[in-house]
Amino acid sequence: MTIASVSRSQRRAQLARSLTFWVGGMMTLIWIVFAIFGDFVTPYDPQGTPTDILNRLAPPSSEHLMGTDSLGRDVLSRLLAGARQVLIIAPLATLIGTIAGTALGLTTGYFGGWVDEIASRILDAFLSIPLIITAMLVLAALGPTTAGVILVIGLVFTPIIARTVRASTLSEARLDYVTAAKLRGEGPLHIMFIEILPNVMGPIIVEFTVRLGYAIFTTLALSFLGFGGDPSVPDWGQSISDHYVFLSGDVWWPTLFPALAIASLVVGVNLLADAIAQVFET
Amino acid sequence: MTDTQTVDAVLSVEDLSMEYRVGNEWKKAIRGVSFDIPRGKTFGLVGESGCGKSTIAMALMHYLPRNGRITGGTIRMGGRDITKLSDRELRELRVHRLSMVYQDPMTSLNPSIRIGRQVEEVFELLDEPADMVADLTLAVLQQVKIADPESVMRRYPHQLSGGMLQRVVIAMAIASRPELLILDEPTTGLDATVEAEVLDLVTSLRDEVGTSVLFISHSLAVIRKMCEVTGVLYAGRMVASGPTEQIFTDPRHPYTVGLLRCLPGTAGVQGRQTLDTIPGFLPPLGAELPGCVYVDRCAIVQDICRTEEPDLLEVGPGRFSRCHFHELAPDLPRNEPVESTAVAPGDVLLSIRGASKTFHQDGKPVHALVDVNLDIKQGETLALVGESGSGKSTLAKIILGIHVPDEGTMITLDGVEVPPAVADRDDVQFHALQMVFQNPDSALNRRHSIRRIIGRAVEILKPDANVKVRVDELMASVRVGTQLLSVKPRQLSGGLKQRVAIARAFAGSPMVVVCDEPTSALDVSVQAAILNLLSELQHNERVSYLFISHDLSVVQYVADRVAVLYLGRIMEVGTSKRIFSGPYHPYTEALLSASPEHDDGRRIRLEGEIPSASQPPPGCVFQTRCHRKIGEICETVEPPLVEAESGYEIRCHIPVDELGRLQATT
Repeated sequence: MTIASVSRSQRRAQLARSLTFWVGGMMTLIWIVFAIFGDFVTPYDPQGTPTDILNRLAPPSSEHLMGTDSLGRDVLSRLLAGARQVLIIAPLATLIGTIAGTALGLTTGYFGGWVDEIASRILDAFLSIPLIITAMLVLAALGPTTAGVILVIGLVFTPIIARTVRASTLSEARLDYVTAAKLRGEGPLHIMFIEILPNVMGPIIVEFTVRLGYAIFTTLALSFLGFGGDPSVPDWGQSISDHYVFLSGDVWWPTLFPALAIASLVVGVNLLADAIAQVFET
Repeated sequence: MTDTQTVDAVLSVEDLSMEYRVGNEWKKAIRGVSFDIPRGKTFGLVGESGCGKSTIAMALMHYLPRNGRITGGTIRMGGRDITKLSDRELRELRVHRLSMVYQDPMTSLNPSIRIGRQVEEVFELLDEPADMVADLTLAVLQQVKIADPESVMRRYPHQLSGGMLQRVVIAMAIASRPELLILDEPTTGLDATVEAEVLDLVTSLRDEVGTSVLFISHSLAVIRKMCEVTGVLYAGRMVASGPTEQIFTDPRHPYTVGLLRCLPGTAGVQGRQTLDTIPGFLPPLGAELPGCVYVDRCAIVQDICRTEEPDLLEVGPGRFSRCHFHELAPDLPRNEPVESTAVAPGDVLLSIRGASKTFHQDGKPVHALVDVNLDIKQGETLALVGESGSGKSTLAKIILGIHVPDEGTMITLDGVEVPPAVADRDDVQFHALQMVFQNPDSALNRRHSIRRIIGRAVEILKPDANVKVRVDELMASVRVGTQLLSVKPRQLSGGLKQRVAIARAFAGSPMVVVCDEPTSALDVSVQAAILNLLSELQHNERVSYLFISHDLSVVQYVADRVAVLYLGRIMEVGTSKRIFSGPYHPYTEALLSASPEHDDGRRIRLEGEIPSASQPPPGCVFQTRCHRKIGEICETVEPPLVEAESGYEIRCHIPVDELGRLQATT
């Protein structure tokens, strides 16, 4: 049995050499900066002013670089401010899903037997329902709040992450250091979280970055469908859903620019995920 | 051996140098190696891991990894230099004239293609007529003595045992009737009985096919058995070469002398004296070695050795030694003082009664262990011997509580019954029963530092102790410097890792330590040091060992008593002296005969493989493979385990006296 033993510093060096990592990192970092400082750099108030309505659906111009939307608000300002909503929801949701999934995966993988059988069947059943449908059902019942969206996305990601962690845990649990821990009478919690967890961090980190891309997409898809939490907060998904009907009237700017924003963020995060996965899988 | 005219060589390597790229640096791996492989003979390359054996094999096939390159020298075969061939010529060479068999047959075969198809492909490459291919495949599988080749051809690799797969790989290698067959550790990982068969097969095929063989192994005993000529490699340098028997009986290089002294077989003494070891470590890849490559570890080193590299000096006809003082080598001073570490065993400490274990596989019962009774005394080493599948590990796991045995099994420690499952045991029992594993890579958590690994064991197993003091004490007792406490296992060599694992097992002053093949993943010099360490710890702490090993010379060295297991049953148990001097149980006799160290010309080869424990043979379980079967009684009545002599039990229908007579005559 060969056991991967690449040191952290070697991994870091490999990441530093990866072009994918730098490109993805830059794309993501730009949006993080906007999410934090968006309020200070937006040319107009993203929430709009009462007089904006007079200038609705104005095409891009030197005054409004990306035009205005159906309420006359500056598209660019809403775009920059909109980064915050998705960059709060998606990472938190992914984090919740990763933590819950890790705990579940470690437990099922370590105990095996009937614990694993039952949990795995329930997870399989859960996974067979399309993600968005599950999320919509729960949000319809809970009411669409930001916290609700975070929880729901975290919840639907839990079984996916649990499956990955379970597979890694299964092979770790067979190694002798786990037997050695049992032989000195360590409890299951110690074995799972102190002995095994550090050895399955690689796949967990990879899974986290991959899921983050999906979480961004899911967040925006939900807000597009009207389950986006607080409707007054600027949000890319909601912007698209509010304006795609105007596409037929050649008003493309309030739809296209948020769509490009989504694409650039998702591509950036996915490039990062690819680079990290490559480092952990070689 | 630069003088190539005198030998009819199938392949000549001259002054071969190779480098590997590590990071951005090229590091020397092979430092000007020269040797000839005589036609029709077997040439052995021996040395410890990291000395460059496999690198040379790769160079001969010209399969270089991306980070490897040949920096000098020639490899001549049939008048042409392999290092200068074009890709097309190389392919031609590999198809027709050179074949190689690797250590792990599982990785040499495609898991999703049937065996028959994979062998046929070789003949297609050889441009055999399409209608002949199937017949040739069948013939070559028969040639490697595969029973029922038709059915084997229809199977996938995972459906065959390791020994069977290695035969298939060998069949593919000899299909082209190559001029040279390279075998790189072909039997490492196989049971001794299977190893013996594969080695016999290689020897007989060599003569049948008329090929020459380059045999690479870390095992001195296997090399001695297989090869006419041997070269000893050290740090990418050939330090000694010559006729095998002379190398072994009259070694003329300090490294060869040291290696041979590490073997427990040569100590051969009961009463257990410390084995000699080789101090220090192999120089790292790429090290600058201006003088002799062995200076740092040599006991007869002089000033000239540090500055001037010795030539390969001819020390006899066809014999070479790269040592300035080769005439002093046989009298190399010992690195370890001779000390007896024998312990007088005390009272019975651990007692196992009626131990059975039945697994369930697809609803069918598999009897892995059947009614085993054993006692281990304080300070005693009891060895478990048998092929894989004999139940050795199952027994160890039952004692440790990792497997819960069947009802009726009773284990008592110091007179107190021990709960069957490890989770139900108490602190005293956790302290008392510990284990040293075969593979230290798997046994040490690779994300924890050494301090954390040993420290945690101390916290749990010796709660009254000052952790720091006890950790330092343990590190001292296994002779690992405390400066290594902060590193991760990956930064340690195999031997150091095993020492750390031993320190962990001894954290709470255990009473019984199960040692599951603790040295089989280690080089011989490291093995000697670990065996010495285990003996010393036993001597100082009066601990008992349950020692599992397939290496009979190691067992003979460490064990006070030996139990021989077959299909989950004890076939024979007695003192080490009694078991190894005979009369033997027929199974033990076969095991001894298969062991390369004990090869004394008698050849008892077990037919086929150990039967499945889900369908054990009727009567005596060994009757299907027994060479001393006496008749119907063996097939119908299972012999009981009887105490034939005081302290000696055997399970056989043939009386011990009769066995003695039979074994004296064959």
